[in-house]
Amino acid sequence: MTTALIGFAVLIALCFFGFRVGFATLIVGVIGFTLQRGPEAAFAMAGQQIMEDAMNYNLSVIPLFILMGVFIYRADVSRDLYDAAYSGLGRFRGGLALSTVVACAGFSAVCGSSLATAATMSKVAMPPMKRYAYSDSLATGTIASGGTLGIMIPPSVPLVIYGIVAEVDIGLLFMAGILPGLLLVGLFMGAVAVTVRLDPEAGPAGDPLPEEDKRRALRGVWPVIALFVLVLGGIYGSIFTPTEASGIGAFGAALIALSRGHLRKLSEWKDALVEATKTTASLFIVIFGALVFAQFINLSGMPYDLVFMVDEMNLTPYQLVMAIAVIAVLMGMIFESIGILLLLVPVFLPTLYQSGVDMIWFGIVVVVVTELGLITPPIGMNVFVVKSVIPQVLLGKIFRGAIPFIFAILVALVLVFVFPGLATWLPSILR
Amino acid sequence: MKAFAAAVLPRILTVLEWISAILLFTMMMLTFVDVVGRYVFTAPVFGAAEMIQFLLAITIFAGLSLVNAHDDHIVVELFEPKLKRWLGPVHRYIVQGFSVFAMAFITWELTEFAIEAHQLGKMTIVLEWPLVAVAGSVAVLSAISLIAQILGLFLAEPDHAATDHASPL
Repeated sequence: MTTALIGFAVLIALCFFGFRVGFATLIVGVIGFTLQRGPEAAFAMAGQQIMEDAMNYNLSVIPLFILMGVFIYRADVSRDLYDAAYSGLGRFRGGLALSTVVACAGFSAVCGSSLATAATMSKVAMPPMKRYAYSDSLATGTIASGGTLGIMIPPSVPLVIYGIVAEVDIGLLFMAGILPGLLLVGLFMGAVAVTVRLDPEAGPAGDPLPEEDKRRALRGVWPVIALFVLVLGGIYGSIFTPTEASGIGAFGAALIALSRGHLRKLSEWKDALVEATKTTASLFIVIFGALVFAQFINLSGMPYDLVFMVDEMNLTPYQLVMAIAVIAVLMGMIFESIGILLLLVPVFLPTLYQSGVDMIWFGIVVVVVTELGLITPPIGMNVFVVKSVIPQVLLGKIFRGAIPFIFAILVALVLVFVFPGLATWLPSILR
Repeated sequence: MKAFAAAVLPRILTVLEWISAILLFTMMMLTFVDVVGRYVFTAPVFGAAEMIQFLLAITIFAGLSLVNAHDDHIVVELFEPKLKRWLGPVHRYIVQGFSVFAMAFITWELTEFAIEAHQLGKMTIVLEWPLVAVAGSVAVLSAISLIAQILGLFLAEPDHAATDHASPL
């Protein structure tokens, strides 16, 4: 246990210093393993582990879902999603912000990335909110927070990674994300409503959308809905595996982009594919490092020591998960989603299994906590993304604008705790 | 060295961009054709899952050069900017030196894995292809990504790091 804790401390210190997360986890993992089993075993383990992960069929879903997101991002569907939501919600007070939340949800349904959702919505939703004199903090806070739906509403890359680490069925995890995702949409809309009630100037109502624009928007939205249904329906109906679904999803997203006048040049294809490959490679370096590090942690016996500790403390499953959630919130201040999933989950896996925690429910709890980390200081990656697209708004203003949504996520977390069925009911009818 | 890096690195990256793009495209099409083949023509692609495994490994390491060359790795940006100001170029030497060391270690281990696969004559399970074909490609691409990483250091601005290193999710 002490060795593992020292390992974690060294890792955090290295990451704080600025060492690249993937490389730091890998080297600390190898050194930790060496101290316990000698260099020969440690080096062999590292090579074997990296090669196994690189050739893991289940992990191939990651590049393909990333590619699907890249194609959808380039298909420019976000404007139609926004206009379609606006045609229903624009006339209400705060309607443009409400439309942003719904459009983010729509985009999340075909893209597993929070940052891509926030980036695309910054471009689409900010200009009209500026035109209607929305307060900068409400406008940018909504976009940054709406973007977090990307990792909850399936397909979701973090849920895939969690599924692989915790050995939970990815299809069931995706299903589990639907209701909490919709709950978050409702709570985010509630956060907008409360904000504009307290400060009506912050978000005035919009004008009705011209009929022609409404029709164009609705025409643009149905392929997105069809793709979502095809990908998830295929997984749930056991028509194809998650990997196959991701391949079909990427292909479908490419067709949508093509039908909308994009990806017509070879260079556009190359750029999209290269972008997805680069994202994949940078993610996999962290995956390699974290899984080598996990080998060291397992060897140290820490996960099993934790089982005894939790047993001695007589923690109920809820108390245990609550304690882990607190650690995850703290970790969210240092690491991003992948760091939390890959470093935290393996440590507690045996304890969670021993305590009889529903691992699908736990996955959703972890992702909700991760969402929190995306919009809270000091890291708040979604806030940084919005800032990079809309540089004229101060960072502090975006963080301030996200406060009502932070409360919304906390309410969601409490509700998922109190009503675990929110996460487990849909998967249970499919099991 | 800077002139050499400026002349060579873009060429290496252009080739690897095309390779990684073609590999990922193939992966997408293979899954699509396999599913369509299975349901429409009752003729799935034999060994598709195994081919996807190989493609994944090779795609990752082909893409790694593109990441390494620009140091687009995920990093915790909490104290890094301050440390950089305090330590100046020393910070960069330490951090980049560590990254190069880690990448060299990965390459070394993958090369050992490939050599062992060759010596033992390991074959893949379904397609019965020699494992060294995949492991060797991965090791070679890893070595190229190490070269790209080192060449990238000569071209990078001293304060390049920490501008675009967010987790892609």
